[in-house]
Amino acid sequence: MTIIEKSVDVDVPVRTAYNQWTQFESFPRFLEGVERIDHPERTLTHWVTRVGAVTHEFDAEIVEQRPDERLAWRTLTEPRHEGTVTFQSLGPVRTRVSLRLDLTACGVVEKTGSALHLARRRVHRGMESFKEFIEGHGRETGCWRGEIRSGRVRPDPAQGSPPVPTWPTG
Amino acid sequence: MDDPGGDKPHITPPKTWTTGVPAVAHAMEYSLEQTSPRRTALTLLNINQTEGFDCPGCAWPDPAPGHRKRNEYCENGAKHINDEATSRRITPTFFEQYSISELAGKSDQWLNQQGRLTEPMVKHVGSDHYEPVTWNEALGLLAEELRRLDSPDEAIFYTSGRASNEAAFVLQLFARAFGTNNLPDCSNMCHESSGAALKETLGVGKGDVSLRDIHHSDLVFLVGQNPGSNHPRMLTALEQTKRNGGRIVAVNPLPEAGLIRFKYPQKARGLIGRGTRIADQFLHIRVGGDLALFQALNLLLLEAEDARPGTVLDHEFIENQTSGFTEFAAHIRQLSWKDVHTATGLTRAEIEKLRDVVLGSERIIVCWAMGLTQHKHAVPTIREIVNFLLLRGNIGTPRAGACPVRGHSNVQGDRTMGIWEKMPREFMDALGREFSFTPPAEHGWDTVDSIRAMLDGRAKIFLGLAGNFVRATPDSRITESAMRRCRLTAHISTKLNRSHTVCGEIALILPTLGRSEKDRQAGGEQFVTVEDSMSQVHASHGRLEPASRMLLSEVAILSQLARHTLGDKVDVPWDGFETDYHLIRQRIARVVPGFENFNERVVRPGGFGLPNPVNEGVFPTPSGKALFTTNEFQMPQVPDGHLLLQTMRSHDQWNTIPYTLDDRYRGIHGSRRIVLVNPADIRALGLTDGAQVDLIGVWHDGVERRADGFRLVSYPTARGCAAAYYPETNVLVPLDSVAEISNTPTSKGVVIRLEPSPLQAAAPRASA
Repeated sequence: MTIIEKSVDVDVPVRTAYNQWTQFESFPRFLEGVERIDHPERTLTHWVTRVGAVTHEFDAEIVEQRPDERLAWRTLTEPRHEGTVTFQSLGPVRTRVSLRLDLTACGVVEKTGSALHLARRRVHRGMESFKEFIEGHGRETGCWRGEIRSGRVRPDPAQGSPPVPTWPTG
Repeated sequence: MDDPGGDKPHITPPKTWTTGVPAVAHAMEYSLEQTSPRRTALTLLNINQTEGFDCPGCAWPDPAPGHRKRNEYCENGAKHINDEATSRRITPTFFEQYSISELAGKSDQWLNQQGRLTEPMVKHVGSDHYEPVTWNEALGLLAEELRRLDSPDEAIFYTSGRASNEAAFVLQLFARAFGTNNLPDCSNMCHESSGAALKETLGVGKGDVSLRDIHHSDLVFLVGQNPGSNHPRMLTALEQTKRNGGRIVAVNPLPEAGLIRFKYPQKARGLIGRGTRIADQFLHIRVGGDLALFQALNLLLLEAEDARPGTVLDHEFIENQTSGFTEFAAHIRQLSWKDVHTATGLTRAEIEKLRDVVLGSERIIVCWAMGLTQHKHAVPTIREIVNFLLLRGNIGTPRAGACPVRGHSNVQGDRTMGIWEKMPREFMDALGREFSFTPPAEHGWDTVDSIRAMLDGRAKIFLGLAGNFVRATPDSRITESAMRRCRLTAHISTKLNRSHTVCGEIALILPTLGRSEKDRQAGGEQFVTVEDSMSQVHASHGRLEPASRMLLSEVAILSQLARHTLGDKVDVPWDGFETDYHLIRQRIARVVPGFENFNERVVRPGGFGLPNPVNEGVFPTPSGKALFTTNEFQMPQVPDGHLLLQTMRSHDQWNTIPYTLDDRYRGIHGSRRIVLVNPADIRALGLTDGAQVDLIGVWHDGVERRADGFRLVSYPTARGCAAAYYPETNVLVPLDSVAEISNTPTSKGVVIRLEPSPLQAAAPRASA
């Protein structure tokens, strides 16, 4: 079985839970083994993870991002996997957050029993840590309310376009 | 040193791979010829490092901090930086020894090899010698001549892409405070066509891809560019594309070695293996046939959509975020395959094979360089590339997009800082508000118009911030004549070049610090900033001791000149700018959008990126949508018995400066007066391989433009085409032969004929 799933119910509004998931740089605070995440572009994250003494780095493309509903990504380099996290409002201050990791495309090493077991354990712990983190804070550390569909960004209507020079560069 | 003769060309078969061990050896050999092992080590270990200096060689971006190699440079960058770090010096004695007339007879290579300029020099009216002058006298003289002009518009302030953001901002501020928008730059001769096409169609005049996009793209086009010689670090990124499973298509009139195979010298596989194959498909296109190729490709995509509706085009994107599709599609369906074949020299089967590669690729990037931008129809060609990218939604998505590959290290940043003769109203308003003055409203002159203005006496003073104006520009004889008609010509330079020998009545050499050198001011050691080809803005810290204690930084020279010229006429703290560059960046932050908190953000390792609105789903066009355009079919018209010449640079050359007479990837050794022609064309013209020929430019003004004494070399260039080195062949490019809209000289599409040369030896000469 190369699918890992885990759901947690968190005692914050769906907007708060979703907004926190848009703040990739904060993931190391609750995801074990994640040392750093850079978010150089809306659709791209660069992950640095550590298992024992071994450091892995990989790029992941965010292919879908719908406010208060869903986030989906796929890695562009090894270890290959796809992931989604969905948000279901259970009430004004309660949300179900469900994570699904599909490791089908992973290499043989990542699919061995011990590696899968480790990954599953980390995912479960990570989701519990997220619950602890967001309930402890009570509010998100930041947000981006734009959308991504099929890798294409639709801007956050509240933020608009970034101010940059648009004149021709020769 | 003696001026190299170049009369013994030795020709070997072109190489089929680049870099590897020979690149390391050649870089070291040249570096150690120029300077000591210690300085070589110091330059090479600091180049492109986060705490070091930005390589002035090209604008290719650096990997993110933490991912840079200890040796983050290429052969050409190493040569270029050690050419600047040379231990050779030009002192006033040199100028006593050589008159300006004598120097004008020397080759570009010889002038460069004399070493670093060390003191300000002046040529007075009627003199044929440069003489030492103090900085105060030199800048006072220039200021006085500027003030004596009848109009500020009689002055021209040219910028080359080496200038830092800070120097560029100060220069444009000075020029506008003085009262003119005459701010031509080297962009006018390079990617102006790209900026014009991208601004019109996407709303932003820059590319929209990152280095990571290149690494992870499914398909990368390399069109009209030669990464092996002109931006070799790009090959490392392309190798990464291949290792990640992406494919590469190369489109070029010359089968350049860098398009075929790459051996990465920092990996064992590059040292002992066969290296990485770069192009999966090579399209041997005729010079100037790229518009036809992309139109044909777009037609094939439309037809593929007709055959399998809903599977080829990105209808949702086209419907919601673009305009002009219907007109574009109707126009492209009228394309004639006969015309396409004539223009491209390619078969329909080759283009259909390319279509299949495109259909098998989800995310596509198109990269291009001068091979596209320096044609009469350059802007339509690049607009057609945008059409191609829009059709399948390859704009505004990750791992896809448009990638104009810029040459000069800060050419993009200089434009961002306002070096342009027609900056938009919002920039001018912000500048005026910040410094409490009214910038001139009338547009200024670009490079071609500046030459025309000097030629007919409307411009009287030329100041060049870096660069080698007379050798970078077209129509050398005309341009030199224009410069000689000036009252005063002045150049802010690190090394001697031909522009110093083509003088106005008065001439000034204003020697400046190189990028690699420590910049100490009253406010402490300074750093400067640059913007790379992918809009990353970062710091550059000089690490070497300056070549002379007499050198001033570019910022210092310009600030002092502004103070001499304007006094307190405008509310600009020129002294403060010179003392502490943070103060300049504070002002940039308030004038240029996207530079908020500039000082804080730029000191982070790797600096910061200027986001492209296109990647945020925003197209800042008048309609708010990306624009499909309708481009009339065009191709260069070449009469029978003539060839279409592209000018090009050799591998051992940086912009206008040849380091040696060799071009080893193309198998040319010991000469630059070489013209590469397809063997079938040589036979058809009744000539023989190795013959001495003159190149005669054909243009409708009746002026004979001749470059003489070239050796004809049988070479696998596309049929009907020829290639020869610039600046030697700039003499053949008519000043009035320019690209539509962008006004860029058409240096890649020059109609020539060949005549047997009466010269038996191919001796180097500055211009015909």
